[in-house]
Order: sequence, then structure tokens, then C-alpha cells
Amino acid sequence: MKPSSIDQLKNKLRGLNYSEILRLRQSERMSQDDFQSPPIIELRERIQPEILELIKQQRLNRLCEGSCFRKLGNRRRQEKFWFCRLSLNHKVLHYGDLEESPQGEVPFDLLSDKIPVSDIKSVLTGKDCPHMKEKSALKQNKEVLELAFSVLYDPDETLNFVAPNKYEYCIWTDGLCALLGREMGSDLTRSDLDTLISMEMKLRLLDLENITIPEAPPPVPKEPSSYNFTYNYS
Amino acid sequence: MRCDAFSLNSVASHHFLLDSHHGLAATPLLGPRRCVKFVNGPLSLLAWLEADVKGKREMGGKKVLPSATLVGEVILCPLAIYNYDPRGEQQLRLQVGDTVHILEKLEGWYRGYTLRKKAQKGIFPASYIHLKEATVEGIGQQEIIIPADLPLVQETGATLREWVQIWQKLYVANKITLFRSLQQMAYSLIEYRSQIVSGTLPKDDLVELKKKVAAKIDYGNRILGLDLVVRDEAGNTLDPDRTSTVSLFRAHETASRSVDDRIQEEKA
Repeated sequence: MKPSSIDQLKNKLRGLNYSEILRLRQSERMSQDDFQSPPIIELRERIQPEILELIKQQRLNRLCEGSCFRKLGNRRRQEKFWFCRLSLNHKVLHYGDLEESPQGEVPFDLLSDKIPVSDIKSVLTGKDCPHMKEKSALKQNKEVLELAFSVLYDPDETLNFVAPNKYEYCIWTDGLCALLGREMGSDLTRSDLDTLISMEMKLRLLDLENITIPEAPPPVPKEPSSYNFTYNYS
Repeated sequence: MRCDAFSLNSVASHHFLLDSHHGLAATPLLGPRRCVKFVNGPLSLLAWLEADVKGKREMGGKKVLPSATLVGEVILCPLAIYNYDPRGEQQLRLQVGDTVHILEKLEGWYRGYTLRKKAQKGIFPASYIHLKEATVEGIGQQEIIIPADLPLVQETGATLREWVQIWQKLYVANKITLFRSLQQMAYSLIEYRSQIVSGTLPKDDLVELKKKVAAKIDYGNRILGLDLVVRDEAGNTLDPDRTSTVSLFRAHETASRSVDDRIQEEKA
């Protein structure tokens, strides 16, 4: 992109008018968002835990709202849908069959089965899921593999899910990991983290736009001789 | 000469009056839209504040003259330019970008608190703080203070802070549509503010942009159910102390109507 001669540079500059230059500056400013200075990088890391906490809250709220899942396999069966919902105190996972896709909120008493969260041992995904290990051709579909996850609970049972889409898959796997005290690792978490942290950083650095941030920490003065910081008006 | 204590408050300006009877009196006023009256004479606000409050009033070799003149409006904004970890009990933690309120100063340290955690007061090194200057230009006897930040810029910053808090709550409550529209509006505001602050806009563009910013703030506040700020045609907020009740009401009506129109447009 760099012009290789003065003439090229002159021609390039002649082609730019004031508003063009302003627009270029603007886009530079927008991308300058990723400041590389050490205190900024440090700040990003410091606020990350609070933001992750927000994401965790959102995931758990979604789980409390619940989602509708399809049952794999036999299409001729009457009940193709089932619904799963986390209790509001986050201690029990309720689930049950549904006759048709729900239109609004599904009350807890419609869901016949439940698993205490304390019984859950782990969450499996994709190929590791027991319902994905079956040999039937239908189950080896790649898309289905990417949306499959299972909950392993005491003594040795599993609850198998196939998420309706990638978004729900991420929400549920993240939410279940959060319930087990594990890190949320989905692509959605990464993208949400980015969105939330970028906004927070932009906000914090709003006033610093025309100020240069030092590369190294400024010197710290000696401790003050007295902590009596009042003005003396004599 | 007596002097009342003052605080270098970030989103507040101050009345400074100097006259021959009372010396320097300062009353901190809350709210970012008040006027600051300055003394005439070659005086840099920053130099004055840095000067030893114990009694010296000489700056730049000239004595401050004892008559008060209305000169302009200044808003200070002390900012932390680096992260500071406390090294002792009395010290305050700073994060880069924090706006601080300075209460007192001693030997290279400030005592105060951050806007983020107003309840916690402590000391921090002055070297970690950048004080935004206001510069003074002299034309004979008249002094003109050039404000470091337009009031609208300060207001935009405050609005953004309020909106982003709400935005995070919308995220957690999964209100996706509103979350996304608020995100767009916030980014637009950030961009506009950036343009205004850059100082590179020609005057007409600046006037247009200020109107756009005001309109966006009003629209956003409306759809979030927040209070409506009453403005004049240029987008400046009206000072309730200086505007008649009837004018205030009319301005409120106009603002409300234009927000309604905008909402109708969006629906269509």
C-alpha cells in the first residue's frame, strides 16, 4: 500500500479531499480500539472476571426459561418434543415430554421428571455422547453431532439432548458447565466476552482519546510526611 | 485573604470569584452546566490550581487582579492514565481511564475518590493523573477561557455510562432486540463524541453533529424509559435557573414531539 516514489505519493494525496481524510481518520480511530499499551491490556484482564460473571448469569437465566428439544429417531411417535428447564433456585433440572411445540412459558408442573443438579457428574458433547455412539446411520449425521450433548448423573444415567441450533447448544453447554463450576468454553462465550469487554473498554477510555498513555508506570513519590491533607489558610 | 476549601470536582465546575473585599471564594456547584467566572489577568487555570494554596496568588509573574469578570465555562476532568495498585492502607486503587474527584493535594499525592467507587477515599500519586487543561487567551482586559470540553461532550459521556449499565442488564435478562438497538446507538454516540472531541470538524458540521447527538440521546433515553433532557435548538441543555417556566415547557413539548415523530418513523 505504501507508495514507492514521491510522484506516486503526490498523486495519491491529490486524490484525497478533506472528507476522505476525515473518514480515514475515523476508521483508524475505530480500529485503534486495540490499544497495545500495557495498562490497557492489564485493564482488559482485570475486568474479564466481572464480564464472565455477567455471561454466566445470562446463561443461567436462559436455562431457567428453558428450551424445547426434539427427540431423535422414531418420527412416528406421538411425542416428538420434550422440554427442559432449570429451577429458579438453580438446584433442579426439570424435564418432560410435550405434545407440541410450546407457544409461551412452560410451567414446571407440566414437566414430569427431574434431576437434582448436585447429582450431575459431567457434561459430554459431540462424539462422546452415548446417543451419538449408536451405530444407526441417522445418528452419524455431522450436523447432529455438533448439536448433541449429554448430562451424566448419579448413579450412572444420562439425559441426552440434541440442540435445535448452535446458539441453543452453546447456551446449554455453557449453562451446564457453569452449574458444575466449570469454565464456559463455547464460541458464543468467546464472542459475548468480546462484545461486552469491547464496550466496557471503550467506555472507560472515552476521555483518554487525545491523551498519550505512558509506556511505563509513572514514578511513585515518597509517602507523604503526614496524612493531614487539609489546606492551611494562614 | 481568606479562602474557602474547594474540590477539583470532575464533572462539576466552580464559581471562582475574586474581588477586593473577600479574596478568593469558591463554591463548588453540582451539575456540569454552570458558569465559571474568572479573574482577568493572564491566568492559567491549571497553574492557579497547582499553585500553593497557602497564600501565593502570583502566577506568571503577575498578581491576580481583584475584579471579577464573567469569562467562560470550564469543566475539569482529572483522569488516571495508568493502573495504580495500592501500596499501603490509605492508598486508593486506580484503573486507567478512571475519572477521579480530587479533594486535597500534598507532596505529589492527591487525596480523593474515583467515580466508580465514590464511597472509598484514599490517596494516589499525582503522576498517575492527567488534568485536562483549560487554556486562557488574553485580549487586552478581556480574558477568554477556552473550555476543555463542551458541555454536550460531558453529557454524552454521562449518558453513555448510564446506557451501558442498562445494556448489560438487558444482556443478562436476554432482551435481545433492545440489547442490539442500544448497542448500535451507543456505538454511534461514541463515534460522534469522538468526532466532536477530535476538533477536526468544520463549524457547520459541528453544529449539525451536535444536533444529531442531542437527538440520539433523547431518542435512546425515551425508548429506555429514562428522563427527557430539555434543550434549545442547538442541542444545548437549558439551565432551569435561567429559563422561564413557559420556555422550559415549550422546549419540553417540542423535544417530546420530535422524539415521538422519530419513534413513528422507526415503526413505519
